This record gives sequence, structure tokens and C-alpha cells, in this order.
Amino acid sequence: MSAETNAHAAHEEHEEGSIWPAIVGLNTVALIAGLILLLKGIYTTVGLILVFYFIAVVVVFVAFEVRQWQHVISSFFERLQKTPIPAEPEKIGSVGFPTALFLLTEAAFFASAFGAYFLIRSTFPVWPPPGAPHLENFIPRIQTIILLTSSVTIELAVWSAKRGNNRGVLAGILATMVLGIVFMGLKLGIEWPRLIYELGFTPASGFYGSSFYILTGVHGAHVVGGIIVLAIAAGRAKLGHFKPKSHGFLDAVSLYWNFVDLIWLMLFLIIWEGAFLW
Amino acid sequence: MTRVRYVEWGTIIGAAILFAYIGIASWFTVSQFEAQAQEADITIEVRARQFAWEFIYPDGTRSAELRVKAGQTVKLELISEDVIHSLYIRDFGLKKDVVPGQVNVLTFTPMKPGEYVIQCAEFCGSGHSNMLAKLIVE
Amino acid sequence: MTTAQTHVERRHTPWYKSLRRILTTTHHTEIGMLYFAFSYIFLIVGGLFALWMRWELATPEGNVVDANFYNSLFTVHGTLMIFFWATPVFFGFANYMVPKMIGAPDLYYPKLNALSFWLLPVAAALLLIGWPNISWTGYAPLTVIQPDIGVDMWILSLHIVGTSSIIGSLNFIVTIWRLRRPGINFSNMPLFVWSIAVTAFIIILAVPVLAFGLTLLLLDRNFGTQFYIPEGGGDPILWQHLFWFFGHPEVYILVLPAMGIISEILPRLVKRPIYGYKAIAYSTVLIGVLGFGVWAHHMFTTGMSIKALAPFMLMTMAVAIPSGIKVINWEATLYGGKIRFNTPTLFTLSFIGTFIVGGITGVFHAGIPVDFHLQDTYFVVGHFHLILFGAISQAAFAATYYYFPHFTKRMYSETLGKVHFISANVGQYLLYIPMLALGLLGMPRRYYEYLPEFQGLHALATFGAILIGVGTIIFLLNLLISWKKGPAASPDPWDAAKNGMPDFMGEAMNEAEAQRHG
Repeated sequence: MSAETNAHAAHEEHEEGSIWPAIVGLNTVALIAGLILLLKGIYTTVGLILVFYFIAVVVVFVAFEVRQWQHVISSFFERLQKTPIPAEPEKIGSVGFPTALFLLTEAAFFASAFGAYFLIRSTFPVWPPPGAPHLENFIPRIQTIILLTSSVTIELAVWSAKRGNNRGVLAGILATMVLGIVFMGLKLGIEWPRLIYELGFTPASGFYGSSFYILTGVHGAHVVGGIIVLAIAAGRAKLGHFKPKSHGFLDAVSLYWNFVDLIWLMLFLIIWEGAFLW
Repeated sequence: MTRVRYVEWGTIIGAAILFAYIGIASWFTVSQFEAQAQEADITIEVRARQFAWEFIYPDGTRSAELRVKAGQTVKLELISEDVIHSLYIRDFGLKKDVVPGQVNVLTFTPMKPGEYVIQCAEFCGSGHSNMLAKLIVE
Repeated sequence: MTTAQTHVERRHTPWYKSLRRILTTTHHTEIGMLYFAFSYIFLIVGGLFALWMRWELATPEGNVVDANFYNSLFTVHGTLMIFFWATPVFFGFANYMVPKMIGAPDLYYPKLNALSFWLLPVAAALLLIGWPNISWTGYAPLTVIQPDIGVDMWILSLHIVGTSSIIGSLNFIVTIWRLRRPGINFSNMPLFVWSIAVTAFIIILAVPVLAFGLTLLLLDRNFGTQFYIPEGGGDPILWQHLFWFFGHPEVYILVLPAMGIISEILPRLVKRPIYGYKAIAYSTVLIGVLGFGVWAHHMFTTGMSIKALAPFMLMTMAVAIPSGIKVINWEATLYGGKIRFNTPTLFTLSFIGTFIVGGITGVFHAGIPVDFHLQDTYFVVGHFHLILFGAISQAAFAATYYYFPHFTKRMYSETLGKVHFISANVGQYLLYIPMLALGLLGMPRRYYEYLPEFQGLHALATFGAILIGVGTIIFLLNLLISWKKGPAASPDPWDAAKNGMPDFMGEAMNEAEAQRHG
């Protein structure tokens, strides 16, 4: 009896199996090799090629996955229906719990970042340390407004999805993406170059500089990650995947985006001198 | 099965009492160490680098071995020039890390004259195991 | 009888013969087997490194390898055994058993599950090629000033392992929450599932902290940032905080699944239901929670003040209490049980015994003045090896023997199993008791050469290590040969179902229900 079910399950799984996890997993070796070459500054072209090769692998993988997603969910749903586990679509499709767990790891990551920052900051007699440049908070204020607006636009996309307005979903996602790109553009295009080239304030200028760049940099990386998942969401919206009753991915993206927004507000309050007086 | 209950609660409460005792005793022992540092007879600066110890006495003399007098309370100021080391006097059961960027203090009062070994107890590189020095109590 | 024949028939197209099958599978039992193969390979590799070190330490002067190579040996041995043996082997068990225990068809995200396995070989290869010599704790600023490219590879390798375990843990938590069949809830869920749930939560909260610390280290090494360098206002102690905030919960990441699996197999082996189900389940949660409050007990000698350290001392001792509760409940299960002297039972018993010895030697470190003497000596090495080899690895051995008939439908050789048991247990006490003694005498760890007065104990330890090595080789040969040629095993090899405790609760409930319906 058990052998039959086992064999059956194994057979079924054989068809459902996928080569992609192995491809992506094993190709991280290219990513790492590229990163090491870039870090050490030797054969940087080869390094860049390797990193982009890995990114291409992931993009192809995601492109395939996005098409299959609905099929994967429905076949999983069918498999569940053969078991006594209640297979309610809203429970299976809902991503609230997995996203919350993922954000828990992100929260742990940022908690350690803030913890480390305050641990060292508390050892300084005066903060900012003497000699450090005054960090202008004009651009961060604009960035704050941008991110707060983007939280509204992503919620607009979710709201449209609930009402079945696919164009509204697409518009909301694209607006959020544009705001995210503008945010990163202000940071990487104006703020950082100004600090580095005009004020000579680099990651190597003491703990003050290091902590500024790590905190804003890690946050920026999360914004970039957000833009990428927004792009995926836009692709899925274009394929019409988001239905009024099933738009879990969009929910997850909006949760993540709001979380990143929240982190920005905390950074804004602690990093730029006098920002909290605003 | 109530007997198991008794054993279980007995162990929990017994362990808790034992741990509370260890905690309080540790608190007083360590506080005593910290108080000792206030009334040291001699302060010696210790410089640790890969892979040697250097002791600088109050009169400015430098030496590769630590010479102290029996019965005298010695305060060592531990300074690292490169990475983390740890000054370990095994016969006294004392150990303090030598951390770059901060000055740690180790206080002790040797009683018995003789020769002891100072070892490095924090991994500091290829010569870690050769980072030994002599402690001579006169 | 017919079932046994079907099992054997299935072996005509075995999974291991087909590379394609290995690369494409997303089924949880097969991923579990891949985890096993991976972790046992690295048990051998890490074990060989350990023997190499012991061979070097048999004499006081360094004459087998040079100092840097020796340092690399213990670095790679430590990292390997923790991240590529003890963690993945229990991930393997969890993969195979959790869905069966809760009656689920598979994990919630099968492809992510496969991905979290396929990240591991890359990480392991990076570690072995990098061959860093910084000790597994990688204390800054030594790691910052070490110019080797190997250190960067070590950092990135840990990043990948961390990613892999976070993905795996998310998967397990969602699976346990969402795919439990009706009738299995938090008051009767198998204890192994409990321990995996708690472990997964520890992983998703602790590993990101390590990832952040490693990122800072990478930046310090390559971009001149000053997080761990005192010149620019950074602090080397920051690395220790970040590392041990991950590092101590990591100990519970390793030990909780071992405890969980022992709580599963012990009652089935002694034919008596587990005593104190609730106490064991809640103590698992308690250990997980308290485990986050003890990290600074690795830093008693760094010059922090007694006021900052005292809470950590108390928390450390407090963690011993839930561990003690578990031990008492296992012993209560044994009390009045029918103890069979087969290999898994013997290993289960030795797990409990060694866990007590290893655990009590751990409590010594909690007292701050005692730790001033013991910190970074061989006493620490002896203590955590008693837990990591004596308890955790032996729990993995016990469970491997216990579930071997389920995995392969064949039986292993009981005689060779007992030889393995004797050599592992005699060997471990010959190896680790001298280490404890050496530590008390004041032999610091990570020493390539040592003072001649310690030679006797070191030689004894080397002898013990060789015994363990021989036993482990016998063990793996036993498994490999029995896998091909062993006698067919019955589907209920330990009479667990007959005694009302089927090995895989959810699967048994599913089958019972299927029979009822037709």
C-alpha cells in the first residue's frame, strides 16, 4: 500500500521536477568567482561577465517561472485535493504568512545593522565625530517624500487589483517603479557623488563614513531588489495574472515595499543631523 | 509516575538554587578583581604584537619577561598593536583579552615565588602557539 | 510479503544511477537523500582533517604540517563540520520526515527546497578551495588584515550557506503551518516537527545577523571601511557581538533537531510513549528563546564590565534548565520501558549520557571567574566536541540506523553497528576527557606546538581520534554495503506501528483514512 503511494508520488514528482534549482544553485559559483575578481580588482572584465552571466541565468529562470506560476499553483492545489489537507485557494495562494516570515529575516538583518550602529555610536564622546562633514538633508527630504508617495502608489495597485482593474494595477506598479528609480537616481546620481567627490566623505573615512554608507547602501540594495520584484509584478500584471481574489504576489510586493519604506523613515530619523527636527 | 514529577521539579529547583549560588559567588569574585585594580602597587604596561609580548615597567625599562615581587598587587595595562591577543597566566587561572583600540586591565597578587608561563590564548595568526613569555615572581 | 517485493522491484531504476534524476528532483524524500549523501561526504572530509590535526598534535613540536596549514585545518574542520555536516544532516532528516509526519504530500515550495540544497555544494567547494586560516570564529581584526583571498571565499561561502538555510527554514515553517493534515495540531504534532519549527525560527532570526557581520567584514577587507578597525572609531568587539549573536543560537540550531529526533525514536525503541510530551515541546521553545540571550558568554574575557556580563551568565545557566527537563523526560521514558540492545537504542542511550557529560561541562563556563581560566582552552574544545560529536552526531547516527530500513527497504548489519557503537564511544571518551584535562591544566586551543608536559594527554587523545575514525569508516561501509546487499526489511522494522506509535504519524493517518474510504 505504502509502496504504491510512494511509487505513485515519485512518478508524479518525476514529471513535476525541475532542473532550474540545480542550475541556479550551481551557477552561484560564477557569481562568487565574478565577485571575488571584482573585489580584488583583477580581471574585472571577466568578473563583470561572470556576474552578468549569473544574473542572466536568474532572469531566464524567473521568466520561465513567471509563465508557469499559475500552473504550478494549480497543480499543487490538485495534489492537495488528493490528501485530507483542506485546500482552500485563499489559504494556498495567500502569501501573507510567508512574506511576514521573509520580512522577519529582513527585520533581523536591519535590527543587527541598527544595533551595530548604535553600539559603536555610543562609544563616541561626540556624534558626529569632529571633522566629519555636515550631511546635507535636502535630498533625503525629497527622497522621503518620494518613498511615501510610492507607498501610496503600490497600495493603489493592490486596491485596483481587488477591483479587477488591470490597467490600474499596471499603472500603480509602474508608478512605484519610477519613484523607486528616481529615489535611487537621487542617491547614486547626486547625493553620493557629491559627498565622495566634493566633500571627500567616503566609506573609508572612519566609522562615521562607513556606517553612513552601509546603512544607506543596504537600504538602497533593498530598494533595487524592490524595483526588480516590481518589474516581475509588472510582467505578471501584463499577463493578467492578478485577479480580484488572487493577487498574492502583489500583496507580498506591497508589504515588502512598505517595509523598505519604514526602514527608510528610521534611517532618515537617525542619520541626517537635525533631520528629526523637521 | 508522580515520582518522576518529583525528580523533575527537584532537579529544576535544585539546579536553580545552585545556579543562583554560582551567579552570586561569581559576582562577588569578579567585583573583588575590579576593586583590586584601584589599589595596585605597581602598574605595568603590556604590549602585545604578532607574536611577542613586551612589558614596560613604570621606570621605562622594556623587557620580554614579566618580573614582579611576591605579595605585590600588579596591575597590567594590556595594549595590542595589531590583532586581538589574550594574556593567559594558567597557574593563576587568569585571562584577559588584549583588544586593539581599548586598554584592558588585569590585576593579580602573586604569592608564591617561582617561574610561570604566560601564553596567548586568542588565535592571532601563524605564530600563535609561540607567543609565550615568562612570568618571574621574586 | 508482497510489499517487501514491491520495494525491491522499485530498485531497478534507482535514483542515484541517474544524474538527470538527481539534478531535476524536487521530491522531498529524494532531496533528503541528497542532503544525507552531501553531509556524510563532508563528515568524512572533516573527520580526515581532524585526524590530520590529531596526528600533528601527537608530538609537541610541529613536524607533520606547517603552522599555516595546521591553522587552515582547524578553520576548515570547524566550518565544515558545523555548516556542511551537522546542519545539513538534520535538514536531510527534516526533508524526509517532516512532510510524512504531518501528512503533507511535499514541502510547501518544492523548487525552493531543491534550490536550498543545490547552493550547498558551491559553498563547500568555496570553503575547501579558499582554505582560510583564521579559525572558524574569524575574529576581526585578524581577518581584516589577513591578505589571503581565501578569507573572502570563506565569507562568501558562509553567505551562501546562510542563504540556503534561510530559504530552507522559511520553507519548513510554511510547510508546518499550512500543510498539517487535520488531526495533527500543536498538541500532538511529532516532537521532531516541533524541534524543526523552533530551529527554523532560530535560523531566520540568527543567520541574517551573521550575514550582516560578514558583509561588514568583506567591506572592511576590500573597501577600506572601518567597522572592525579601531583607527577610524570601529571596534573589533563588534564582530564578536554579531558573530556570537548568530553563533550561540547556531549551537541550538544543531542540537534541537538532534533532541527532537531522539524524542521520536527513543519511545519507539523502548516501546513506551514519550513521557512529558508537553514538557519536551515547551522546553524546545524555551531553549530557542533563551538561546538568543546568551551570546556574550563567549566574550567574558574581552574586558566588558561585570555589570554587562552578569545577565549573560544567568541566562546561560538558565538555558541548562530546559535541557535538563528534556533529559529527565527521556529518562522517565526509559524507566519501565523495554530496552532493546540494538544499535539505534545504544546510540540513543549514549546520546543521553554524553549530552549530560557535555552539558554539565558547559555549565562550568557560565561562571565568569571559572571562565577566566577555561576560556579558549582545550576544556572548551572538549566540551563542545562532547556535544557536537558525542551528542549531536551520535543522534544523527542513531537516527540513521533507525530510519535506514525506511530509506532503503533493507536492513544494516547489527554486528558492525555494535562495533561502530563501541569504537565511537570508547574513542570519544579517550579523545575528549584528555581534552578536558588539558584545558584544566591550561593548554590553550588552536596551538600548533605545545609545551612538552602535555604530550601524554595529547597522545591519548590522538589514539581516541583514530578509534572514532575507524568506527566511522565501519559505519559508512556498513551503510553502503547494506544499501546494496542487506536483507529486505519489513515496512515496520521496529514494531513502532504495532505498538501504536507509527514512525510517520501523518502518513499513517492518511493511509488509515484511505483504507476507510475504499
